[in-house]
Amino acid sequence: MLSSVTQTINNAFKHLPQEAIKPIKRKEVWINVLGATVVLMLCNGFADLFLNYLNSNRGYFLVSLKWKLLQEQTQPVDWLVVGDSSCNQGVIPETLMQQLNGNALNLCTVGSMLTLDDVWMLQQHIHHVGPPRQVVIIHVYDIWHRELEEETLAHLAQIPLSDDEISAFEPALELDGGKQVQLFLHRSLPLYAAHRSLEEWIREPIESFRESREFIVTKRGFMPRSETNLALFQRDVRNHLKFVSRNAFKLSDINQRSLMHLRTLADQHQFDVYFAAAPLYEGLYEDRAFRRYFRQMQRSLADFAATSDRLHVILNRPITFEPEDMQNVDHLKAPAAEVYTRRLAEAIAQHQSLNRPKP
Amino acid sequence: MGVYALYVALQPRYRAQNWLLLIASYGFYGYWDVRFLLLLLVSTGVDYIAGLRIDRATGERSRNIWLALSLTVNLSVLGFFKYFNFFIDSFASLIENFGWSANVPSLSIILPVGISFYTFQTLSYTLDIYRRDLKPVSSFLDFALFVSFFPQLVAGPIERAATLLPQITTPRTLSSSQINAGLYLILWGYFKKLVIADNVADVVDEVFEDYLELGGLDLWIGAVAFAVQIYGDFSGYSDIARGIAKLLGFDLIVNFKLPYFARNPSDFWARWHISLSTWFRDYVYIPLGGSRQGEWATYRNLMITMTVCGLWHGAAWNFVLWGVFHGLLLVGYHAIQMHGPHRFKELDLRFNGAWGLASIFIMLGLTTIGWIFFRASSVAQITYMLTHLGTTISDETLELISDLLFFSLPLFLMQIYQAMTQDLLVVTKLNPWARIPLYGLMLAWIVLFSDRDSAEFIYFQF
Repeated sequence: MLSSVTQTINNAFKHLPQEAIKPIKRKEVWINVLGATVVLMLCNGFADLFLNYLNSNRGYFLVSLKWKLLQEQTQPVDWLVVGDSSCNQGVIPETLMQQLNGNALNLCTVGSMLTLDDVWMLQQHIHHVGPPRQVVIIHVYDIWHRELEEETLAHLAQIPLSDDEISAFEPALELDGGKQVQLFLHRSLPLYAAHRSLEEWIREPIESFRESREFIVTKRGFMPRSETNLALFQRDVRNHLKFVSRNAFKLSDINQRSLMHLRTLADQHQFDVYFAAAPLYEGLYEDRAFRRYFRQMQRSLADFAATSDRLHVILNRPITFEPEDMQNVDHLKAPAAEVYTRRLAEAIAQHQSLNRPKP
Repeated sequence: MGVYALYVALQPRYRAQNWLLLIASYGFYGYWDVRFLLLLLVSTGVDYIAGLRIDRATGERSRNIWLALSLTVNLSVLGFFKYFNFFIDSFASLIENFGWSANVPSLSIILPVGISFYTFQTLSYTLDIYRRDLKPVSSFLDFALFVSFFPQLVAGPIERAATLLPQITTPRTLSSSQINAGLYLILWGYFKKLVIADNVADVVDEVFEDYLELGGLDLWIGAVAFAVQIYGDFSGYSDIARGIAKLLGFDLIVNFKLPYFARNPSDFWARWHISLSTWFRDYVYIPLGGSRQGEWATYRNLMITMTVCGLWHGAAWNFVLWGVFHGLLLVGYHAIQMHGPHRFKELDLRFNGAWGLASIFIMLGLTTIGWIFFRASSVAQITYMLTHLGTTISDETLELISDLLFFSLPLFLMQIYQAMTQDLLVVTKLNPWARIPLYGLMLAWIVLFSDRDSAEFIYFQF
């Protein structure tokens, strides 16, 4: 046996290999192609099932979870909070409920979904249980200029509704052929769309499992976070300052269209919408260029809000925090979220009392 | 896909198919940069006419003139676009070393994609006609397609007219066997490029960019990773090109035959980039005299050939040094064969078990060291890395090894299987219950692990 193994090794490496083409019928070629495609689809299906239970991509997890939370509502929400990840971990609905009357729900997702997700969620809420009583929209200052990117499509693809239901939303996605293909791939091929998560699961299963277990969201939609990375924090500050020093505020087309439809819904269904700035690191707000950009943003939103009695801009100055309270420059740790929510509620209450119609 | 459907629909009208392929090839090349299509056309036109003239010439002088024209035009174009700035800058550095100042012009020259490949391909045509090994083709269409055949235009394999032209000028069959083999080669080629090469590239980049901060073992890992990357990238492209050609009914030369199982430098060059190594053997080494003029002449010819081979790869001194390195390996091997212990030659011929495996590892080690020359960005980096290769580790070592092993393992297992069965297409002969899941998993891995911002093929830059 040993000599035959040695002989095999000797033959293997002593001679150059060749390409021997095996005669094959056309039917076998088709079997190969179709069979491989079926196996690929099975892998894709398995990946889809797997990620439904163990998704380590926080953004995808949030989008899917918040929309499912929306679908679970059986009556209109009194205080519907929508926006990006800064309010996902910055607004505690139970605290809001204590300060203001009624129930509250945090449906904030991720920034890449822009205000498109906010207005789509509103439409779904109206369609499902009727209009909410009040809406609070909270976004980090730097989402307003952003257009639809592949990341937006990747997150939109996680919305657990059918294509027909999504295509009924306004504003509609006006996608070119390439983006339509991207959206299709993200919705139908998790092997493609969630490849980074799957890659991490294959290469670092224990770490991925640990991460997926950290995605805790309360039943009213608040996600408490606590970790900080100081080196990343400093880099974050530098990047934000670089951005504001080089850019003037502008509202992107997709955000503009979303806001206009939001206004239509608010006027039609008679609910109030409050725009509030996301929590912010105090050091960032101390920078002059940043304050200039922030003021441009507030002015733009105020101009827009002036076009309807239902739209309101609160918090002319952002609520700022120290680094110890924050995960990064615009995301809070859980204890500070309590402070932010209280101050947000106070600002809303103050605005309401100032604008209450006189008898 | 549309082009292929039309191609199949035209079967067996090969002339119409040739027109379709030519238009598709020019469209494919023009897509990169339409200006360089003109260069391709010039090269095609000059060599088509030169080939006819050389064949019809009655005197030796006339034949030489037309050959010289072909060589001059092709090598001038190649030399200008690829080497002008390199030689100018090198000349300037040289005279500055003597204390003189050099105000030399430096031009902003874009290297046309594939110029090194198609130039050599057309040169082989005129050289073979000159040697009376080949008759020229009368149809300009057929010759133009030979030069511009899109599957192998930008990065080879470098085809010989004697093998490709007959396939162009005769009807082709699109057999199920060829299509099956072609589809497999495309799949395996994309797997090697997108899954293996592009992911291992992260290890390579990390080591070669931060080499000053890393340990000796990390430098080895980086070099091995580059050996995997360049093989996966280049052989992957070759397989894709050959696979597409098979779908069209063409057979292109096998460009790689498990090169990292080479037992010695000669064996390595019989397995690595075979179309290029045989080109240099037939058109540089043998015309210089090959091994027919004595020992020292053989060494000289080997050094010249390999140095030029290195230079072909790129206009930079590290490529030249890589060529010189391989030249020295070949010279050294020849010298040991001639003057070394008789036992050495006997062992090498017999490939006896342990010695055989040891020789493979030694050759792999030497090849890996050679890749440091190839990948490094400066002579200083080459010097540093070569003098610091060792066994010291850093905080990154474990992660580097883990990343390298994860992506190299499928390649290693496949290559062992191919070696044991002596068949590069052995997977196509597996039982369907094994073969089909394997194909499906390869597809899944390509979707999963391919880098969305995938780098272009390394050899496109040549």
